[in-house]
Parts: sequence; C-alpha cells; structure tokens
Amino acid sequence: MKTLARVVSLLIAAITLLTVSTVHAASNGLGVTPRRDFTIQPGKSVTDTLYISNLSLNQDLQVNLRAVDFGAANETGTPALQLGDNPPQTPWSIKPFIKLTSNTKIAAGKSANVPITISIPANQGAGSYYSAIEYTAVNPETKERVNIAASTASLIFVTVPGDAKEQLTMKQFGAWLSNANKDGNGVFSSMFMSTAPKEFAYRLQNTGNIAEQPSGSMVIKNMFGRTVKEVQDANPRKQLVLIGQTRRIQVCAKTSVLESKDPNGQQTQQSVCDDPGLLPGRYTAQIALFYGINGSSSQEIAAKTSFWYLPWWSLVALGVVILIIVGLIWLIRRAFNGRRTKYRR
Amino acid sequence: MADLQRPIISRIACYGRHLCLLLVTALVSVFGLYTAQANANQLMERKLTLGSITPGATTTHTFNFTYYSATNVGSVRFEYCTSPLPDIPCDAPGGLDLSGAALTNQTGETNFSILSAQPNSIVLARTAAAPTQSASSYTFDPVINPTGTPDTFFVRISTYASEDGTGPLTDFGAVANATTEDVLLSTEVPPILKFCVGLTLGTDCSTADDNLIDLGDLSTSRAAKGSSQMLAGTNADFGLAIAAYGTTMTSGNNTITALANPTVSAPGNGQFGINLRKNSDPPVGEEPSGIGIALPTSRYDIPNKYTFQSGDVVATSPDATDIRIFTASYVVNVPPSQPPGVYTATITYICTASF
Repeated sequence: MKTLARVVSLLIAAITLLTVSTVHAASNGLGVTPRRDFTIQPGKSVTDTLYISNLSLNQDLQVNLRAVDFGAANETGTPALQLGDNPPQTPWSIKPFIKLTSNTKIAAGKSANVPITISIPANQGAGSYYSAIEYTAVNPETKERVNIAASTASLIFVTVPGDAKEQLTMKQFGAWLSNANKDGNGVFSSMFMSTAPKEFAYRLQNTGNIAEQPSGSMVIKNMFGRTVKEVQDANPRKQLVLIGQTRRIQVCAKTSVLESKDPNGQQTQQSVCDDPGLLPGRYTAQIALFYGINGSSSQEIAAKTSFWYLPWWSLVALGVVILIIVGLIWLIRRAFNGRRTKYRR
Repeated sequence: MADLQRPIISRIACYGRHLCLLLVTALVSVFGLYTAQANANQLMERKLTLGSITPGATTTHTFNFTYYSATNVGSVRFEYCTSPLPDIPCDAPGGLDLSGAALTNQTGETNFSILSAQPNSIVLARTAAAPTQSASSYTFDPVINPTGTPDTFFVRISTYASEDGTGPLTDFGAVANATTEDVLLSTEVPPILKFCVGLTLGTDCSTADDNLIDLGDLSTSRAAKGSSQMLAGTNADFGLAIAAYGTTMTSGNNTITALANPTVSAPGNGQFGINLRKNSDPPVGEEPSGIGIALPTSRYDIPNKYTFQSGDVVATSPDATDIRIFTASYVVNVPPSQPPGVYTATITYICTASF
C-alpha cells in the first residue's frame, strides 16, 4: 500500500512538473510583414492590417506591439531602432499618428491580422514620415540565467504629398570591389586586374525632407563609345535614402537570380552579381537617377566614372606581342644590315 | 634582291597607311554618331503628375516642362519605358495603355494635337514654330496606369523640328513616377520576414520555444559557456539585419564587464561576450548553416573572440535570403574579486528588414 502511495505521489509530482514547464514555455518564432509604404493626404487616415504569424507549432505566441522610431545605422539600409526608455522623438516620427493594439495572442501555428490606423493631421507638412512597429515575443523570465527573446519589426513609411523639399546629392560613383568575406563592405576602385568589376556603387546624400527611392539606369561603354552593358534598373532592391542619411547603393553589372525553397516550400529568389564578360580595356560607366514624389518635379542626377580592366593574362599577352614585334623588327633590321654589308663588299 | 624587297615593303607601308586612314575614319564616324546623340539639349523643370497612383487605374497623366531650345518645334514624343536612358532600348511598363488617351488640356506652348497614340507612346504634332512660351503642360486622359506594385516607370520626352516625331532631336528629358498600392488586399501577401530564437532549432521555427540559457556556476579558473540559436529569412528584396539588445550579466548593482571589442576568453578576468561562430576556446557554438546568404557582421564573426555591445547588428543579409541558422555562443569569465550573487542577463534579438 505504501509503495502504491509512493508511485502515485511520484506520478502526480511528475505531471505537476511537466505542467509547470509547459505553462512556462512560449513561442519565440514570428513571421511578419517586413515593410509597408503608404501615401496619405493631410487630414486623411488609412486603416490596414499587420500580418503576424506564430511559427511555433507547439506553443502559443504572446506578442507585445509598440511603435518605435528609427534612423539609419550607417551607409547601408540597416535600421537603428531607438529602444531606450524615453528616446527623443525623431522629426520624421509617425508614432503620434498610429493607433494600434498593445498586445495579442496567437495560437500555435496560426496567424493574425492586427489592425493599424494611421491618421495624418490636416496641418501636417508634406514629406516622409516613418517609424517601426516592434513585435516582441513575451517569455517567462528567471533570475538565474541568460534570458533570450525574439523580436521583429515592420518598417512603416508614410509619404504626405505636397510641396516638399527634395534634395539628393551624388557624393561618389564608381566600380565597386566587395570584401572577400561578403560582409557588405568594400572599396571603390578604378583598376581591376583579376576579374572585371561585377558591381558598381553610388553614395547619395539626402538633405531634403523626403525619404527618397531613386530609380534609373546605367550603361557601360568601351573605349570606342559603344555600349557593352546595360543595367535597366540601377536600384533593383528599391532601396531608400532616409532623411539626413548618406546612403551607399550597390548595383550588379550583370545579375543572376538563384531560386531556392525552404523546407516549408517558401520560395526565395536571391540575386547574385555575375562577371559581366568584359574584354580588357578602359571603360566608362554612366548612370542617370531620378527621384521625386508624384506632383513634384522629377529631379535627375547623372554621374560618370571610368575604370580599367586589365587582367594579368592580357598584360602577359601584350608583353608577348610587344616582344614578338620587337623581335621581328630586330630580325628585319639585322637582315637588311647584313645585305647592305654584302653589297658593300 | 634588295631592289625586289623594297617595293614589297613600300607596298606594305602603303596598305598600312590606308588601313590607318580607314581606322581613323571609322573611329571618327563612331564618335561622331555618339556626339550627335548627345547634342540634344535638356528640357527643364520636368514633372509628371498622375491623377491616381493606384496600379492599373484609369486616370490622367499631366506633363510639365520648359522648352530649352528656341528653334522650331513641330512635334513632341512621350515614350513610356522601364529605363530613362536613350542608350537602352525602350521596354513598355506592364499594363500601361495610352492608346485611348486624348489631349484634354495644354498650356504654354499650344496648338498641338495627337498625331499617334500607341500603348506606350504618344506623339503630339503642330505646324512647326519657335517656342514663345517656354513653360508648358499637357494632360492626357484617359490613361491606364502600369500594374506593378510598386512600379517605377519613366517617360522619355523628345522634341523635334519635324512635324511627325522623327529626325534629329531638339530637346530631350526624362521624368519618373511610380504606382503604389496603398492598402494590402489579401490576408497574407509576400514579402514576409521570419525570425525565431531558441536553445536548439531544427530546420525551421516549429520548435522555437526555449528561452533560458544555463551557464552553470561561474568560476575564476574556467570560462562559463552556453549557446542559443536563431533562424532568419526573408523573401524581401531589401534583405534583413539582426541586432542584439540587452545588458551584460548583473546581480543587483554588481556587473560582469561586457567586452567592448572582440577578445579571447581569459578566465580570471571579468568578461561577457558573444559571437556567431564555432569556437574551440572554450568549445562552444556552431558555424552558420542553411542555404540563405545572411552572414555574421565582422565583430561577431571571429572564432574564439567574443564581444557584446547593446544595439550591435550581429548578422545581415543585403538581399532576400532563404533561412539561415546562427548559433550565438555566450562566454562569461569572472575575476577573483567578483562579488558573489545570482547573475542574470536578458538579450533580445531583433530582426528587421533593411530599407
């Protein structure tokens, strides 16, 4: 009887522990809409939904939502979220204009569409306004270990049309050599001796009050002025130059698309820069970029750069050709000199 | 013998001179052609205003520009393309249709009528005359907008002395605009950003539900270590970035120094840091895996060196990336003077799209 009681007690304790651990676990997996763009007239509002998916198949997702401001972390498109306790509001913030629930719960493996309303005051000036909606998975915390939590964000951009100040300045344009470790950095270069430049880059400074998405085309011409490469879209990732930012945008001279599927069947297309197949020589690249919101003048930025593509093999070949020519000249001169000598005799 | 060779040499020299002349002529022709194309002046103050920016909407398109040249203008061509450069052949934006458009308003330089209207181009013509009103506007209605979302398109505007939109250009300029869908129409629309964290993850986020890393007892003679995993992926063209926010390990007012720069583990010193690589000292962590292209940033990409600064971006992808799994390794060392206590840290990994 005592043994039976012990077994029952152990069983109850085990079930209790299991229940406790189940209660404490929570989903840390989210799928969200990464970015939304709106055009809203002053005095108008837009109601839309934000998609949130619970990627855990075992646990419910308790998620907190809040609007946070952000700016540019550097010359790339990485956002720097302002997550301090009371960070100062940015001049381009839409936090005061957003109406949003502060939390929601999503069952395991399910998704939800959370309503969001953005109301622009009637006296709001034309320009770009942006903030992010941060989604944080809520986890139980202990005071004995390292706690980790997952959080994602949707970047929300609002354009208020009207007479805004639009000003982009081209700071630099040239052929680009990415770092071998593919960390997104690299250097501008005008001499390429191993492979032809696969990428070009330009740096734009935004001194206006609109987050600009420049668009345009680029052509590469050889030393005879013939177009050897056309790049239809010089901003294929639709990258933005935020207010006050100097942004570097990279573009492939030739793009290949790799398609892949994750284990759930979601298809992703990844662009990679290919060798443009240039012959050795001097080249000129010309770029024309346009920006301007609907109703404003189209602003144009044009830039030109040149570079040399002189692979080692071409220098060796050139050296051999020069040697052959020099050798031939020497042989001919020697032959003529020999004959003159004979005639003199 | 020498007399025989001399004519051959002079013949070769003669052929050479002709060849050079031919080459020079060819080069002059090529450069001449390109110079002729580049001779057109720029139209000034160019603007295109869409009555509606909704993709596929039937609306008005109003062009404003200022003529630069004072020479006769007999025709103006508006050509919608996916590139603004005349060097690139014109591809029509998808869904666009101008063929039913009428010229409903003209100001400034007037007396134009539509000579021809194709799905992606309109030619206006009049009796050739020198512009007297340089700032002008032309409104076409109805025009069916391109259908891409968002879809940037360009209009190449060319003016001609001829009255049929042919011959040498007088002025040239391009304008850009884009259509945008304001509100999403379906419940789940790509692109999407996926992100999860956990102690160990499989090939997806279905088991992402652990959040506590046990580092065991802290010691002055050996490094305490632990790891967690995170998975990220997006089909958005602009890529993603993962940043780490939080604090170093604290116990009340006592803290363990966070490593400001990548540093090797040194037991007996106050150190708290992470990296995203497989390490041997101490043995902890895994290399990034998965078929995506996201990579750790340089500070967190050095095996056996650890650092932590709240707000640091620890991994990025410049483009769309399939799923990628990163293992974050945590290393903690304490000096003999470290006050005893229960030390804890909370680190939130935030994955955002880039812009």
